[in-house]
Amino acid sequence: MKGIIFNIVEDVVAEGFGMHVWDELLEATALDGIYTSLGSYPDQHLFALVGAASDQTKIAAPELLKVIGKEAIPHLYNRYPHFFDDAGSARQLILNLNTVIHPEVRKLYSGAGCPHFDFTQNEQRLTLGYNSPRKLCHLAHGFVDGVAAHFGETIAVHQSRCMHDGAATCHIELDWQ
Amino acid sequence: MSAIPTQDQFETLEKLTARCNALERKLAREHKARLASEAIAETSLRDLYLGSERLKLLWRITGMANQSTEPLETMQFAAREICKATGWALGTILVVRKDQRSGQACLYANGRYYASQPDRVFPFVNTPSDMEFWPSAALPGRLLIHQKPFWTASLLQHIDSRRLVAAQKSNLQSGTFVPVCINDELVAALEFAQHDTNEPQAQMLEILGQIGMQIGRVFKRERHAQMLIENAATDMLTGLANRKYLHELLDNKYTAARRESGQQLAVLYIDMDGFKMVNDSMGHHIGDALLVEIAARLKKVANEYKPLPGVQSINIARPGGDEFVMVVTTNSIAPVFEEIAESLHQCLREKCTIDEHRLHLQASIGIAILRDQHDDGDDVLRDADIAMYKAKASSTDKTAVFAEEMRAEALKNAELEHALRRAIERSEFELHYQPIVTMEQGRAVGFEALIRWRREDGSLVMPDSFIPLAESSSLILAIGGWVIGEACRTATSWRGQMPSDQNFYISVNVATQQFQQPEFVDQMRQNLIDHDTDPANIRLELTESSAIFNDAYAAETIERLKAIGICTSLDDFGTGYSSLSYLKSMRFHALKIDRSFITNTAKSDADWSIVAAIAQLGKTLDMEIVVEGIETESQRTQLKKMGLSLGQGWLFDKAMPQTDAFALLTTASAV
Repeated sequence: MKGIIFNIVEDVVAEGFGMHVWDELLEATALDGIYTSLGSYPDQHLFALVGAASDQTKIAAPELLKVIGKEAIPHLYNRYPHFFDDAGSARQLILNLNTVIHPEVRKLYSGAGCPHFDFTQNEQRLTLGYNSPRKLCHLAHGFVDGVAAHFGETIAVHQSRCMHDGAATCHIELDWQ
Repeated sequence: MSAIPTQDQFETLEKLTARCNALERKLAREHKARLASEAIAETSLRDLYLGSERLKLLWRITGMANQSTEPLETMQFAAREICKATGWALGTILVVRKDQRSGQACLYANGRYYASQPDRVFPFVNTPSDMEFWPSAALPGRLLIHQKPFWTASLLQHIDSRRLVAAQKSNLQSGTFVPVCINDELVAALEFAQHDTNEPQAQMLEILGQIGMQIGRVFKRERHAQMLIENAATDMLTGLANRKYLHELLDNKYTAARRESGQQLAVLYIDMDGFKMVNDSMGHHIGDALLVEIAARLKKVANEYKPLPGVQSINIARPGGDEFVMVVTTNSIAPVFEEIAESLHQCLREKCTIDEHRLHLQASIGIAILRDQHDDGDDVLRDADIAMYKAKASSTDKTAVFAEEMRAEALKNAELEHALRRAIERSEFELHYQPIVTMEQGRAVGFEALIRWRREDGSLVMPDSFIPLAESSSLILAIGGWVIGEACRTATSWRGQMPSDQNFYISVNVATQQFQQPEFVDQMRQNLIDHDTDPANIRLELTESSAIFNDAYAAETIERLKAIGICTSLDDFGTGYSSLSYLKSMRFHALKIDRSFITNTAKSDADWSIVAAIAQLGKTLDMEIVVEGIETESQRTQLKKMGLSLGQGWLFDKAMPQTDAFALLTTASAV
């Protein structure tokens, strides 16, 4: 997992719950918390931190990931505004994941394990096929919510299939309202 | 215990708060510093990545360029790789071609391109593929002026107006133009278009420049390969088509002429008279330079005729040696072929100077025009060759158009040549001697030795029937050598039987080829020694063409002959070039006025004027004058009046066998 994700999660937690909560999460998980965007860290660290946060906030992990994803977007925008500005809309930004954003990530970090989304578009609906051993479909859901908020759009997100329920691929359907 | 903190406790708290605030500020600064350093590192990483990707791109294309022999394939590969690496929408291949007439280069799209999504740029790639772009400020014509890769943010403002609408429909915004050069010569270009206006980094343009150079190498290799092919079809020396290509060309022209009614095909076979002498006497480098000069002259004539109405094509080949072939096609039966031949004669006749040698060329041209009897192009060529030999054998008309009877004649000539070779082996020749007499008394002072061929059956063949053939086949060297030896032998024999105070000479005709041999003077000296001959008893008669072919050489040879005591006469004066300048530079002892002037005096008084002028000229230059072809008493009287003292002709005597001639000579002395 790229350090940037840990940084963003830290920012979200610190902003929403206070700096001390992030310290408490690190203490609870016995992690040293040294994450830089330049580095890569075990996926387990993220899962442990999310697990600890769920325990502390009594919010189920999937819900928490959605919140983190949504709140992460303004922070991502701070760091990488051109991805948002160039895309101009939520749909285009999402469609740019495979062709623009992840290739850019790979330019910075060779061998970055970026997920690939299979897009299916029909009329209003855009379906994201997500298939990653990290099973972070809920984070993706949250990101979509955040992106919609960024562009001032309303997107109904529905997940018809989920790897957490034993499906081979997650299907995240996006319907613009 | 009081709950109110003490003064000390307050101060400690304030200090702690201040410290805490300071630490938080410091933490915020550190956080920002971390983000900044991460941003710097990310920028560097990105640049590094892009740099390495570009290098990989360059390597891939270089790898392709190293292996490829197909420039267009390589360009297509490069267009695809570059589009994939940059995300550009479209890469179009443009090739330079030159206008046949002006030589001006233009770029044209040959229909090759790479598009990641062809449907999105279809209007643009669907523009006519043969569209030409001339040097201009508009794109891509600008590449013809400035051969550097460049990017433009405003493709629509600068693109050639013919493609503007298509570019708009394809939503193309910006573009990158990459020249492909061989050294400084633009040979092709890659034209990329983007849907956005993201400017490529300067390094990318540099890489594209290098990619252009790599593709240029493939073009260069192809050009070299093409040159090898062309060289295989081209005579390396003159750049004309070689023998192999000539046959191919003839095949094609033959087929086309057979297919298209009204099309005429003619082959002009051009043979340079005396070229072998140049090679032999002056060396191959002069010979080669001369061939190049001849080729240039032939091309000049061809270029004069090409634009004429009716003329479809003129090709020139050098199948070998000093032979050239011109293949002409016309779409009407115009008498242009003989006209071309005449122009060729005129152009070739101009004196040329090579390495201080002034050479005078003469060609024999045979023309064959496609007829029903011809089965292929080579048939026409063969007939032109036959006609060429006919032209060569003629001393006056150096052009001959093939006629059916020439084929039989050619066959006869081949038989004759075979017989002539046997005759040389068997020494079937004899010399007859025609007296050269004083006009006044008719007393013989010398003889012109004339060759006869005594055939096995006893018949006597006159020189007109075999000398031209001998001259065209270089048998003349053997025959001429025999004549000189025989004349020397006779002269020595006569000398021994005559009073030592009686002078006479035997005048021997020398062929041009013979005279041009570098060892000619040595041969003469050897003959004099071998036969113990007094050089005063031998004279050599040179023709004007011998003298004029390479005048410096001729003048020098005449001097060398003089040094060993041999005088030279200029034969047939007035019929050929009659250049007065060489009479001054070459010290001939005697001038022989051609018989045709005397023969024609019966018809025209003008010829008497010419004879008188030549007589005057001889006197001025202190040369002996001998008049040939005197047949009547009145001619003799007239010539005597002009103060001409020597002559030969039937009025006095025909050529006679050696014994008769000797008798005449001794009788004359007795008179």
